[in-house]
Amino acid sequence: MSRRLIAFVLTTSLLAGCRPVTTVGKLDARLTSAPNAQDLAALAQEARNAAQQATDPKDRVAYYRIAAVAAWHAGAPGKAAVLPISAAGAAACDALPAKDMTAPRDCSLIRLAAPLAVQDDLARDLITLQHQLPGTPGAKLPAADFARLQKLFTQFETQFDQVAAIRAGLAHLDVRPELTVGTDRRWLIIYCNAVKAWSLSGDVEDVPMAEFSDMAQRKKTMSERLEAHGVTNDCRTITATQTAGTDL
Amino acid sequence: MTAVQLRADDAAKKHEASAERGIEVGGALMIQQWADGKGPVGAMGRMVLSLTDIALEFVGANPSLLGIGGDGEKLVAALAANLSEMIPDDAEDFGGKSQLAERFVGIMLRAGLKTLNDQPDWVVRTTDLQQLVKHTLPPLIAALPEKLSEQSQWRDVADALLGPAASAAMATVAANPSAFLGATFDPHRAMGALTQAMLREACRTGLKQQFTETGFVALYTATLGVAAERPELFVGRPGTPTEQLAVDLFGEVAGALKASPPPFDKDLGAHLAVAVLDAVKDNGLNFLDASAPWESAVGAMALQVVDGLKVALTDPATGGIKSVFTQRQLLEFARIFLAQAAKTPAMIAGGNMELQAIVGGVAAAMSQDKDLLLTPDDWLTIAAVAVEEGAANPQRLFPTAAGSLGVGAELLKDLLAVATAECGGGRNAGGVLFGVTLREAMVLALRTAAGNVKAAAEYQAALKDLAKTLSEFVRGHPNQYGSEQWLVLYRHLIPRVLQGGAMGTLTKRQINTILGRGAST
Repeated sequence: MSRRLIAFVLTTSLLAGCRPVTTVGKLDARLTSAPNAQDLAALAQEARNAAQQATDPKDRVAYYRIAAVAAWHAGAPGKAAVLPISAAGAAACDALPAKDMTAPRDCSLIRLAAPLAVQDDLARDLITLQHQLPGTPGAKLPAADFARLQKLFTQFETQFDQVAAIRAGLAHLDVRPELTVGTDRRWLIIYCNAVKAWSLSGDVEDVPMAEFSDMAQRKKTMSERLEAHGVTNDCRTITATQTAGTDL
Repeated sequence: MTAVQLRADDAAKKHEASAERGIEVGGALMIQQWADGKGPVGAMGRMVLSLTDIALEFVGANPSLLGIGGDGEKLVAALAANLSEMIPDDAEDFGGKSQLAERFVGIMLRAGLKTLNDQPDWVVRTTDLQQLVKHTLPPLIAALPEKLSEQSQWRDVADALLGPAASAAMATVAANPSAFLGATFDPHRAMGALTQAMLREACRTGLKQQFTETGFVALYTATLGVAAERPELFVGRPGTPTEQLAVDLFGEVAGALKASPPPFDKDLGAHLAVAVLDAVKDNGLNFLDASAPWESAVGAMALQVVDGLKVALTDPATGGIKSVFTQRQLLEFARIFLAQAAKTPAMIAGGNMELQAIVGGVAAAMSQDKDLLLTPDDWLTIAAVAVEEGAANPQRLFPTAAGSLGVGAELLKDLLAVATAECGGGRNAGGVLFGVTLREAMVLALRTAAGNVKAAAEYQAALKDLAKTLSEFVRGHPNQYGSEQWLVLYRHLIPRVLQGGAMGTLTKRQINTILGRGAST
């Protein structure tokens, strides 16, 4: 292992860096013009490429934010890219001089994209299961679905935790109130979807009560965390299982 | 850096160029990716940059680690040798696996360099590290699930566990150099399978619901120890290849312990399974139920001990032994029984419930110690004697017959009852039957009765009376007799009671004779 070679590689990589051919503003405009899913997925790739070529660290983060949000909003066509982009973007944020404080909105959205995209994917699975429950009174799902619902609940809970951590960070960042309000709304949606998964798990044959009660306790813990942050934990305001939306 | 090394190695292998020339060519190719302005850096380049960053972090603080022949250099070389296998098909699209590969390689390098730096005395071979990387990282990258939610989970779990796992694996390689030389079955393959199995199980159950990171890493480390010491256990069977065996091992342990009473349903249960795995490593499979695959028997074995403790853990009326023991002591308590079972496999073979009966008997006595007359360490000593005597004298002190705790447990409870009554007056009353004295009395009772349980059962009341009589006597003569004399008298008089029943009245003269003080003292 030669230190000279390490230095050589690093130096040349810096010297050889190329400026992206596009700009943050242009890509942002495309992001907000509500293109279709395929266009969003393409935009995510384009922005990711721009991020990799960007020499200015703040620009790099801005490109990653566009890429992450576009991949998330693209839904199915973008879902293969959203986690890698979010992870690369988070690393770019960590490399900023004052980390997320240098680009608070961009970094917050980069970090939110992953759990919100996963939540959307989970919500689609939940809807599928909800539709499998026969409409007749007293109808039950097969016992085997309990494990699926339990897993869904746990995965919603994981996304809830991840958004909670990002939400806590917002308090220390200079971000517009709309971002915090929007984050809280999505935090509540994740919670409500977890509640729906738990509730549906009570509609399977031979519910294992110990595990059902365990989920109930965990649901309560989530509810208390929402309350502690001043978020009304009323799922009646969430009319149906829904994905996290794209208006952040 | 590693890509350069790889290109150099590949070229040298093909006799296309010397390794040195390969480095130059590889470096040039790599730089070309950026210099042409063709677009983003390729997968290999990204990985190289990531590795270079991490290596540079360590070069500053630990120059010798990455010096020529240093362990760090060997690790980098090991990663380099496997780099091409870790670049997935979706690399050029910056796909999930590609990004995951960079991430995993980074985690392993960082954890590995830190571990090697913390253990400068270790001598690890490049080939071992190469094999370790080869059998660990590429399968993990390839196993990235399709579904987004599962991908997210896979990443989270790997972020939490892969670093500690890499450290544990390197520690195992360094601690067992001979295990990895010339084995019929390559233990590296088992290590790779175990790494993947642990991550899969953590994905399945999460890192909060049952085992945390600590529990998983403890289990994983113990399984690595078994793989290094007894690699033949991981050869697999028809229909159960190594990889499936590893998955079953983690799954069965988690499944068996999931329904255990708290706190064994969480990390403490994992640590108990670690004790079983350590016993497998040291003693082989003799003590496990041969009717089931060994990977299933590990969890079942841990469960036998937990079942023995169940009443004492869950009965609110007894106060529960949880209030006596810390979690560490509770684990130590369970380990004592497991260690004896490993030495005496017949205790649990063929569904024999002897171990469970002994655990249950001691735990039942413990739960009567509401005044905490004995310390947790005292109870650990008593447990060790109980299981030793129980193992040496089957079906005597702690029989498996339903409806009875056995004379062993009854003797312990009687002594506790006498001690509790005696100590009711507090220290000013002058009683001595507590703490070390009580502990030694219990040890004496168990050891003596083990060889004559018929008499112990028949004269159980007389034995209790003996303890009571001695306690009253010593308490009544605080200036002449104390704890030591109580124990000498008890040791001397137990056999007499077992031979002939009640002692009747003890005179001071008789007592002094026994104590060798002369009748007139």
